[in-house]
Amino acid sequence: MNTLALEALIEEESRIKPKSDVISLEVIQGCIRKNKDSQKIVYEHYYKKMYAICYRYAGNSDDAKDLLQDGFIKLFDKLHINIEITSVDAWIRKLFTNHCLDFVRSAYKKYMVNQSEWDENMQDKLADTQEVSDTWLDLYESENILKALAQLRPDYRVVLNLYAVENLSHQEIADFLGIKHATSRSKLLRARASLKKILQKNGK
Amino acid sequence: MESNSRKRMDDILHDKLANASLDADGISWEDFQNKKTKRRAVWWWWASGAATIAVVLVCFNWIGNISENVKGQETSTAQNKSSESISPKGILLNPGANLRQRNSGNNSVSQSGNYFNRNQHAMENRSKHNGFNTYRNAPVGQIAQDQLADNELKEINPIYENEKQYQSTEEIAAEIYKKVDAATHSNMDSFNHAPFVKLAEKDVNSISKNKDKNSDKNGIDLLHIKGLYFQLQAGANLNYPNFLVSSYGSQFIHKNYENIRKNSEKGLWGYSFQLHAGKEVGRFAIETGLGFTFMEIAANYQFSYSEKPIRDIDGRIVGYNNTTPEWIQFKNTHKYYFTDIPVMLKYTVFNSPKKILRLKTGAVAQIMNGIQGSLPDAVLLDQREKLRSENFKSFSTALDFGLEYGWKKGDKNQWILAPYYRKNWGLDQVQSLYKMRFNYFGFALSYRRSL
Repeated sequence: MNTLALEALIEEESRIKPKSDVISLEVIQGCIRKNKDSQKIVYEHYYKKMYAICYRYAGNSDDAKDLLQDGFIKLFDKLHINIEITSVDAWIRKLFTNHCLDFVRSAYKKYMVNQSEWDENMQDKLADTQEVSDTWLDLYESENILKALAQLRPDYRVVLNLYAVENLSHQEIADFLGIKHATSRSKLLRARASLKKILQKNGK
Repeated sequence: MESNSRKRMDDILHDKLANASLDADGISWEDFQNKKTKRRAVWWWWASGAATIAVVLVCFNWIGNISENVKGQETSTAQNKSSESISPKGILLNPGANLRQRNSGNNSVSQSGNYFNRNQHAMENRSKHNGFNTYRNAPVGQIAQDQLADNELKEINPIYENEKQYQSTEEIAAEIYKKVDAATHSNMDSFNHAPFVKLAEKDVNSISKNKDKNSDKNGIDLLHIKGLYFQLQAGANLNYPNFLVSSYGSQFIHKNYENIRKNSEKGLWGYSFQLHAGKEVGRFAIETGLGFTFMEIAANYQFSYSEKPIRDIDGRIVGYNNTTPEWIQFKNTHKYYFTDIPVMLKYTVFNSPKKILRLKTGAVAQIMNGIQGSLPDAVLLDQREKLRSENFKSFSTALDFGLEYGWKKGDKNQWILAPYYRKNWGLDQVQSLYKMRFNYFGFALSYRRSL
């Protein structure tokens, strides 16, 4: 991407979004030149959002912090003048999502093998709860949903993330994780039910 | 209806999570910078380890070079003595009076090509000069003085300037044969009567070629560096972890934590690979190298959590609140990766033509490269903590004790079975709150090649 294109892109983003949400051209150019001050501005602008993505996939703060760390190292390494970016914001988000998906793909087998790590009693503790209206989830803050998601069984969490948040189809999820189409469907159903129970147990 | 409800749930999840923000401790820009530095530090440890090995090898090479020079001079001296009368193949060389035109009355030397007479003379001169009868008795410092004596000889008789420097018996032998061969084909009468066996041209060349092949470009005869060897080792180890909370750490850590860790963790089999280089001096050998060790611990945490710590502003535990007992149970496997830099001393107890037994002991610098696993939080036991390399000091030390039982295969090769015990001083938590000791028994199979 040349400087003019980058300039046009940032102008376009600043028209659509509030000024505080847009990183300036100088800052992006500074990051391309590996300038520490510019990197700091980009880091501080994005780290909370990117941490939420990492936490959503990792399910614990330690892994999420590692993913955040590696993600930003990758970002600052990959950000150079020749890269094709249609939106800086979307590009960074996509980079982190792909980074987390790589982690999920490598860790998925471990999740399946080490199910003993997951406290199976948790499922029993969460007794059947009464049905509520379909807007019940609206009442919860994002942070609480993220924390509830972290308490889900790891394989349920991955499938729910891929289906509901990344909008992948069951076939795509099955291909990605190397599982059967029907397994993906059943895991999603259980994930939704478990999430509902956890949220109701945790409260708003 | 149910399907719509699910769709609605997914939509809300997408809206709430796709652009969500979350804050946490330890993810600020400063933390990001610190972690980057720590990761670099691990690579520095690798680099410094490799540099240490390189330096040690260079030192060994240098020591070998010195010993080779000493050996070369000793050989040359011995050869000079014997070459007066006996050829390399034991054929009597007695060329007669024409060949030996030594003038014993002064320091001058004949110019008839019998260079060994010059060496004999130099030896005598050295003996007078330094008071030692042979080079074998002379200290290294004295040899340097002898070089000066050589220079004095050169000043007395400029012919030495044109003489070649001979480094091995073979080279001297080849040169003798060349000179004698040339003399035989000349019109020197004395050679016609000498009891001389003519050496074929190809034999002379092959001796010269072999000499060239055995020397490296710098002229150091690597194949003859005395006592230098390399040892490649692969082995398995069974570790016995020992978790210890320091007296300082007990102020900050839950009172039950040490017992939980001690009772829940047991060692599994791990493995190691090592490449060592060593130098033998008599029965002793000193050895160093670079290695990789992997260790595993199986953890099965099962405990009741009913006392929540009360902490002051500095994080010190000042008391405990009773809560509803909660049964915590989970399993995990902890993995530890180390780079080892050992410095070992070995002693040969028994040495027969087929077998050899050595004792070994030494210190090992163990640099942690990686760590994996999860365990209960040290303060709030109902929460989990991930094992992270940043939470530990990467450098630890260990002592090794062991045996080596070797089977000799030829002069230079040995297969060795080596049981050993390693006592680790402990992998310290970064604030020295606790440490993890890895004492382990191991056995290794090694292949050793002497140069």
